[in-house]
Amino acid sequence: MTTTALPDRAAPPALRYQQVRVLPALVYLVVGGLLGVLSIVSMALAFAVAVAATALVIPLPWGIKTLTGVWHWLADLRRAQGTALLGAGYLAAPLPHPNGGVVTQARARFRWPGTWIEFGYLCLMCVPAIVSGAFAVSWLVTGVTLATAPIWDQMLGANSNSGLLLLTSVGGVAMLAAVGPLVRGLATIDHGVAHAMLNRAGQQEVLEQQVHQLERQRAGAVDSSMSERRRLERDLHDGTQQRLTALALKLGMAKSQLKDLPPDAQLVLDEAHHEAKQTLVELRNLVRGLHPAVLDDRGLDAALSGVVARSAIPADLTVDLFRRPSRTIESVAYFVVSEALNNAVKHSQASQVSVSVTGGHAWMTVSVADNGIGGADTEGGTGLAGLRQRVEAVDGAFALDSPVGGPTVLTVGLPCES
Amino acid sequence: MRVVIAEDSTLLREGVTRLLQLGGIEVVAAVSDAEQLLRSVADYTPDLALIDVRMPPTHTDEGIRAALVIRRQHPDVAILILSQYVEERYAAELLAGTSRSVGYLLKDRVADVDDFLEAVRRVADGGTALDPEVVSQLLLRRGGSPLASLTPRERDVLEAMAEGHTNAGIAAKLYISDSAVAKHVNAIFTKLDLSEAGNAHRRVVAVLSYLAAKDRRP
Repeated sequence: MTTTALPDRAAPPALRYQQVRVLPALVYLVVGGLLGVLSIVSMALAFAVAVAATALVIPLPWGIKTLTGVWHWLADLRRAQGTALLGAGYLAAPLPHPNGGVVTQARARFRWPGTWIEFGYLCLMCVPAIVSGAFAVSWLVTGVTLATAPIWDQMLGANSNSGLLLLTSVGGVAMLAAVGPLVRGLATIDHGVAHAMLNRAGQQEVLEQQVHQLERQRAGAVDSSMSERRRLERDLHDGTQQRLTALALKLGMAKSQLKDLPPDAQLVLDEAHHEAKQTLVELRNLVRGLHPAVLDDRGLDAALSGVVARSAIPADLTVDLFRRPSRTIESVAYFVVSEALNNAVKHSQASQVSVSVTGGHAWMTVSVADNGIGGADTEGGTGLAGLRQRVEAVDGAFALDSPVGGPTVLTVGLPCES
Repeated sequence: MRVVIAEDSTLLREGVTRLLQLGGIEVVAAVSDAEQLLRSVADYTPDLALIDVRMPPTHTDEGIRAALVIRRQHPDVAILILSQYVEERYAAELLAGTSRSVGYLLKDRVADVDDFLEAVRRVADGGTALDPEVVSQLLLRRGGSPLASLTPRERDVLEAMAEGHTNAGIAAKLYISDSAVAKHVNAIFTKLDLSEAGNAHRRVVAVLSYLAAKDRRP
């Protein structure tokens, strides 16, 4: 869709009887009748086109494109009719307009629900519109004629019974008096139906745009959180980790050069050195937990290889991907395995873990299975809830099978197109 | 011994330079990116190049790529790669060509001066120095039956071999006798079905090729 302005969120409500004025209503009904005639003509045209297309006289996509264009034009005329004459409001419902040739356009219009809603409406309203328009006009004309019966009588020299004339005249006046409510009522009903049906097409449009916008926002949020983590990892690597390594290095050199220290001093130096090295290890693990650089450089296979190898429980790994998924998806898959392994180590008392990552053209499956005591769930504060959120934020599927006592299997599905 | 250092952190570059000088090793050039590294190696033909993995411009794997270039263009220059994190995948890439005169260590190892200097000298002499962490990753990844048939002590010896230690070095590291080491080594080679290679270096090649081979699945 190439509309740049966001459509109105909610349709303005249908007009009520009180809001409809007599003269505009009358014109509305007349115009409606005319449009009804036009609609019938377009139905006939549709039929003819269908026949011609079946007989391969004209190409079907062209036929569809033209027809849907005509229906939409008629529906828009109805909307304009309501807006201009009665002051009603309608939601905009533009035809879909994808880039591409006739076939693409035809397919898009054929698939658009609005097309069929509008078509249905035209079918429904054409006859009633003609009837109410004709009815209103004839009522009015009859009323005028009857009310002015004495004048006609005079002009035609018929000299009818004056009592009869009076009755006729009164009847005519009564009819005229009823024109107002009649016309307003008919117009209100007609408008009510139009409003209900034609706005459905517009509602569809609004919903689709909202969904697109939400999807974009969510993808943006997921990506930005991932880039932040990457940035943090890089900053820590380039700054803090280097500094700490230099510190540990200097302490090591001090130890090596100061061989004749008194034992207490030697001990302190040894401990300081040991602490520095320990801090390096912890910091490195923390940073890798943020975002493993090798994941970007070499992909899931390499990164998971490292994770699995460092696992405290013996684990085996199978990776069989058709192609490399997007960075975001790789990141989610990596953290699923990493977190699941952590949980297995902390809670499962398992002796073996199996990690498998397989993927086809559009979908990949990550599965982590251990032979431990089970009983894992997403509530217990094990980080599994956060994992589920991350998976669902990228439209993945999360399934945890962990009966108490039995083995635990975590299966995550992720969309794979980059 | 003459060494070229490539490390983009000034702090570490100067620290390691001093460390090497303390050990009587001459640092002929200390540079901060891959381009300068390749130029210095061409200009100075050092005995060994000490290379950081992550350097400008992309800060991803410049070091590894430069190392492979040096290996092709100057095969006599020993290479020792330092990294903040060691990954099995990089080790496999490095070892793919040859495992002569190559090392891959965590930067943390510079904190243990004597061990580090020993590793530098070993690599410059034609041996290998693989960080124990990456060796354990390689071992675990293989995971299957032949390795499972090793006793824990044999696994220790295998790891030490893969790290590049000689028999004497292994004996010192594991506090066992030289003859015990030799016995374990024989057992390992039999169980893994590797041909007993004569010298220490060749057998490291054998072990490392075994570990680095991706197709060895049970």
